[in-house]
Amino acid sequence: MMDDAMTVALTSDPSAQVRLAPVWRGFCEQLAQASDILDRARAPATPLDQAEGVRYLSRLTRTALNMLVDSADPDFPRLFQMCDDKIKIGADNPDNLYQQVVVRGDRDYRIRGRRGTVPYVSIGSKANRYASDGTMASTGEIAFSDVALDHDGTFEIIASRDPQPGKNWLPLADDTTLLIIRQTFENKAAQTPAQMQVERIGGPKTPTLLTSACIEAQLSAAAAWVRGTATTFAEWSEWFRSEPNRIYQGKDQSTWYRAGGDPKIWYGHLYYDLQPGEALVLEVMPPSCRMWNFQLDNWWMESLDHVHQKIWVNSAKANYEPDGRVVLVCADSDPGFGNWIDLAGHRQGTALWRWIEADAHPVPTCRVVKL
Amino acid sequence: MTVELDAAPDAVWAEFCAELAQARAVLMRPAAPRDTLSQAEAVRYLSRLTRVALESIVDSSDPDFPRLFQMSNDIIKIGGDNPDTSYWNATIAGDRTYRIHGTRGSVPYLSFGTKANRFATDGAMVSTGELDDARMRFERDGSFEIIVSRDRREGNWLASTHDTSFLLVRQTFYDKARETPASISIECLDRPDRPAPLQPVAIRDQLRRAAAFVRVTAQSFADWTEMFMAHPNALLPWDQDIFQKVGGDPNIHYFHAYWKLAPDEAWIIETQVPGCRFWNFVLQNWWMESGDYRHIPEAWTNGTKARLTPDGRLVIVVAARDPGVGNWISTMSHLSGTALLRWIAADTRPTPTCRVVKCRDVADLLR
Repeated sequence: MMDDAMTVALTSDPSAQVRLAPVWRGFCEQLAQASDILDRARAPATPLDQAEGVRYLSRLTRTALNMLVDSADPDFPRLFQMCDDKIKIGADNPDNLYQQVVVRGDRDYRIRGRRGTVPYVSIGSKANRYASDGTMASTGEIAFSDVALDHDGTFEIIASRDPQPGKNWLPLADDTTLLIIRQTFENKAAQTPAQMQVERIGGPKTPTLLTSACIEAQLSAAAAWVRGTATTFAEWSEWFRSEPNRIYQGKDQSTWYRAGGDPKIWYGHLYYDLQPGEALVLEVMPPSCRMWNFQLDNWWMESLDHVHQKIWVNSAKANYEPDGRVVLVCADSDPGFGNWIDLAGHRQGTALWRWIEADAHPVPTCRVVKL
Repeated sequence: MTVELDAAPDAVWAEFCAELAQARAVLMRPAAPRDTLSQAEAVRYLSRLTRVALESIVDSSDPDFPRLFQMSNDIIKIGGDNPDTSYWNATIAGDRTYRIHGTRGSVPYLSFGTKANRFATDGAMVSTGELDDARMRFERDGSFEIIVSRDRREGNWLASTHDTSFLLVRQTFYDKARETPASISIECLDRPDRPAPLQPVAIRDQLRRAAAFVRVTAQSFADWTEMFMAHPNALLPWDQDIFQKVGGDPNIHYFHAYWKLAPDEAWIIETQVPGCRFWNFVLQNWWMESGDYRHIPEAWTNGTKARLTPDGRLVIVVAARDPGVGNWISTMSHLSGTALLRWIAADTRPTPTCRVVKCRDVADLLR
């Protein structure tokens, strides 16, 4: 096309004459490179897994663009959901609602909201320290058990580096880049989420004008994020695959925390590899804990469709054996014993057991049975 | 088993990205503005169209398991989106029955429409059923239920026809910050137990349609802008059929414009305000995205925000800076763009008079 011969002028001069078509073409070309995850030697080549892999790239693309193009201004913070009922990343939790806000540690923010009836809400501030020590570090936490509410259930929290005596305070650090609002439901259909709004205190009146350099950098970061995220979790899936059909113990729990996992949770990842007619049975005596759950994910580590299918169970919804043990059966159809978890057509993929604020972390036993 | 496609899945993704890249043609149109801001906003606009195309066509297109989504919102802006309205869409099918339920909220106007895509036969997106709050029954607590079907039902009923393909929920606010939107959910009553597993041919087809949506949508509204460019700085009724055929609201009379102002010029718009349920005026960029009304109060005005003259006329002044005579709409650093005035459910449809003057003369002219 005619833009091939043109160069992009990276300028903010409003009178400059530019054509930015090459920026869009460059983004699309960079995005196309993410398809190399579909070709990984160990990725399943079944029609379902491959089709879901392509759809997963489309979902990563739209969440990357939402996050890095339209929700990236720390002066005008915007709540967004990196994952939702359709966008699924890295064993996203079906019992959770996660929202994110891009912020900067040298600024102050006001979070206003209404508590709702969701049993557990917390807000964390995070610093992306991948470049220095390879972690997504926690720089502050506030749990709603510690938040003072008004009579009508509304609240206000100040997020800042400096302590806020007498107020609800979420600490930030110099290098804080993100707030994460976590809400954990026992039953999403029956419990109402907390509603929140975030604003910067003392910020500019209007956003700065978009520049060609800015949109080009944002799109490049979005394409890189799609490929990087897909690659990270494909590697995890391949780790778990080295010990199929049992809880993966090849890595220490700190591996999951360094990647942004919640330190209050014990993570039992698993790779299942089943023949037609086979089921994976998990069995354990749950410890004393705030909550536990177990979910089935596909090879790409997307939670399966939990809106329309019974692909997970939690401590509030599970049926228990008379002695208190819990038996889960991952199968194509209800086997008539234990708690059926629907494979939803998958033969290979990943799964995750969580003990949340538990006083012990028993490893569930796993066995493959013919049904 | 291996994938039964004439192309490998990685090629499906590569094909999608290559087709998506074609959408850049809109940036190279001879009539399109070449200033940095307009070009950068066009690239961002393509990224937003990409998001909404993928959400609607890949993740919200199963009529057995309908999913409400927003084709436009406070960030994703398409074809003269309305800052005072929130739209929710769902893919449905005319041969199925649906139950919508929800709570009323305090939004002043709530309506439901079913639509059929008859571009192939009538060249239009046609209405196949309409229901609004004035004709609905609500429980004491504000909750409601609607049945969507081809056959007439007792209670709140929204008609569909054999070729109905989507549901549109419109909510129009006088003041979004103070009024509570209705909350709505939908389910198909004669659906299968579970969604069908995703097939490679299905995702390939969905991605092709998504890439085409981005390209065609961007082109269509650029075509409109170029049509408006024939009469710059004039709000004209044009041919209303053009706007109705793409799914416009029959209750709305649309006045579109292309504007272009030198830095020291102001665009003065004067009109009688008819008796109407609502009106608003929105300044948009060349791509027909509404201005950033979340952060810039001068991006638009409406019957709640504007002040009329003592004799009931509306006078709007579009300029780079506030001339201090009231009802100022900011160009938001743009040199050219589009604009849209809506009379909603109006008893008359006056056409505004428009003129371009020097900013320094505005106060004298309007005194």
